Amino acid sequence: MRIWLFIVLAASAFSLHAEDQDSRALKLADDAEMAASKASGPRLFSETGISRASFRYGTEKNPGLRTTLDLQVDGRISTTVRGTFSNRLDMHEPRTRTGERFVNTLREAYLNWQPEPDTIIDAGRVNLRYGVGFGYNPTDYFRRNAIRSFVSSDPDSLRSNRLGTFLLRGQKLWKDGSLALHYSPKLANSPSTDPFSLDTGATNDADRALVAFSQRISEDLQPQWVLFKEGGRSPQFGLNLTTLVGNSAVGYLEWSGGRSASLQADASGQSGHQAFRNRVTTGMTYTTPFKLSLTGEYIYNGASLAEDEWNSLRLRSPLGLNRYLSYIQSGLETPSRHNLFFHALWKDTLVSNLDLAGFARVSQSDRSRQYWAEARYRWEASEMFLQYQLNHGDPGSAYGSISKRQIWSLFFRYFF
Amino acid sequence: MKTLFFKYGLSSGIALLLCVPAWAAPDAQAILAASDAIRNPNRSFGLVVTLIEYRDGKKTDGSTLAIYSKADQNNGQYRSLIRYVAPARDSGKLMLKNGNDLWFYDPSSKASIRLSPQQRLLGQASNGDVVTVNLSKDYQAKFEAEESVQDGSQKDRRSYKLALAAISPDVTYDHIEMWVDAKTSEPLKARFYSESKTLLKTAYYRRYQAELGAHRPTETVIIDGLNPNWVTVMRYTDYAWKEVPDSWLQKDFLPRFKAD
Repeated sequence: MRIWLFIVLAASAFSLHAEDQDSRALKLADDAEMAASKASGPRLFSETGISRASFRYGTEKNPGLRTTLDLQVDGRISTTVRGTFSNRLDMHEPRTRTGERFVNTLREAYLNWQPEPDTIIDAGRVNLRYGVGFGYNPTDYFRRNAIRSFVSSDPDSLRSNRLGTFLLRGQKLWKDGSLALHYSPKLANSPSTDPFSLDTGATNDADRALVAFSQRISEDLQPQWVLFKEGGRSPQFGLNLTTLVGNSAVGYLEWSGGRSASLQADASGQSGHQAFRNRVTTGMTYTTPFKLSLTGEYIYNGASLAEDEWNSLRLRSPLGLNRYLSYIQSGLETPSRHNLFFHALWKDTLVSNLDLAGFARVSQSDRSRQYWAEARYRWEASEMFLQYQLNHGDPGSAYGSISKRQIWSLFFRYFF
Repeated sequence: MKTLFFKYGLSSGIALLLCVPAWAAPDAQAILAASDAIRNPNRSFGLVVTLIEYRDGKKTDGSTLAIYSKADQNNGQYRSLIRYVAPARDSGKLMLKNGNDLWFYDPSSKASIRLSPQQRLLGQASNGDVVTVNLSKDYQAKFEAEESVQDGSQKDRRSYKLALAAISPDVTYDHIEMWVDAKTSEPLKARFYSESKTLLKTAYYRRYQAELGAHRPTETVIIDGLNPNWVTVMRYTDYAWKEVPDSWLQKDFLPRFKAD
């Protein structure tokens, strides 16, 4: 009898406790001041910070300072026409390797016409990017020479802070599918180091065309097929595909294939042996109930150096190897044929508004590695982030050849 | 004589009771459908949702979203395009919810990222499932009781308590307890559970106002079941009928979706 009485009293106490919690929550809602923001205007932020690098073959140099102004604006011009403008201005101290203090990156400036809800036409500079991979995007055919101001190895930063391509594109959408046609003309011959140049030679140094088609084939699968052609080169075929793996994971595959010379031949300016080369990124992202997302990715680049080719080039021509690595970086390629990429993102770690992120790149040919980590704390209109990067490997290896061995950066970003 | 009177009276009483129809439990599925219709307009629409998140009584986060929603003709479930309006760091980011086809798009990096159903349970993405969802399509309702319940204004209301069991494999919550007003079928309160019977969240529907032809709740207070000190207040404004073509409800349209 006493046991039953105890159970009843405990249940009542628990119920009362739950009701108290609900009452407190409802009181918070009663006192909440809701000021709904109307349609978003321009997004403008400034970013200021300091970096300190340790060099592999010398002493540490003075810290580098950088200030950035970043603007994105999108607005309606008429009932069917919109305009988009996106620009980034970086100010470096000391100056960049090319001797510039200012580097301006006009990311996008284009007009968008939508005569029908399912028909869209764009003309101007567009940051056109395809690909479902994280660490490498073989179907991102417009990536070469698009980075004017390299500020971070973070793949998200590389995707965001780059030049768009001048092009004309049309897209038709239907239920569960779409077709997009792009034409990007040649406008100049080579990239420019002028700080405020539109740099059409970086993004429009050849005639290019791209067709992208997607159609849902099942509840889970909607593959995207891509066909790319650059003047003077063979066509490249691409595929992007994602699928759910259970409730907590997403698997993905990104493939590009076509006849081409090797990257080493392209870097040295030689015609090179043409062969059908595959580039593949495949991986999976798993998310835990406590907001930790883990990504593991295998990257194969059939145009990069194989292990024996790497060793041969390193011994035969260190200058040639440096030229190759520089070409790899400007094209956002992978240095070796087999690579691994791991990424982790933990939002609201330990405390609310504190996010931790990191990645590791592994070159399978020489076991060299690149590590990167970030802690970012968010306030309502600002954020602060601390970043660390380590390039580890033997001399002459993919990441061991990078002159900066480790880099610490601390930045503050304010949104106006 | 007394015995005869007693037998006659007893027989009459029994006959009278047999003539009175038995009280029938209300049609739970119909009540659930009626409460869905109160929460969700019957054609494609848009609204603005302002969220404030509280932890331990202190405001920790806030955001404003513009939502375009349309019911699927086949299964009646809502598919939504969601655009982040505020804070400034998230401005322009997009999300597409189409059953288990869940995508996030960042206009800065042009990255389209597919999300898993697990990620629907995290953060504010899950709270959308408490809002624009037709429960009567994915859940079997059973009438549990007619009882008094405290509503979102902490007033006692006469309500029907319904037990909802998932009939579709893709739903976010395994089962739900729902209280609706006994007269009007207005949703008052709901508790959402996982398959392991863990309480995931409690929702109170309040601030009823006339919007798009019906008396609808314009505020939902969501209390996290695992950590009741985590409270989200969602307020809805700027209701409007919006044409949302089917062709927009796919990942390829996300880079093209612009603010009004």
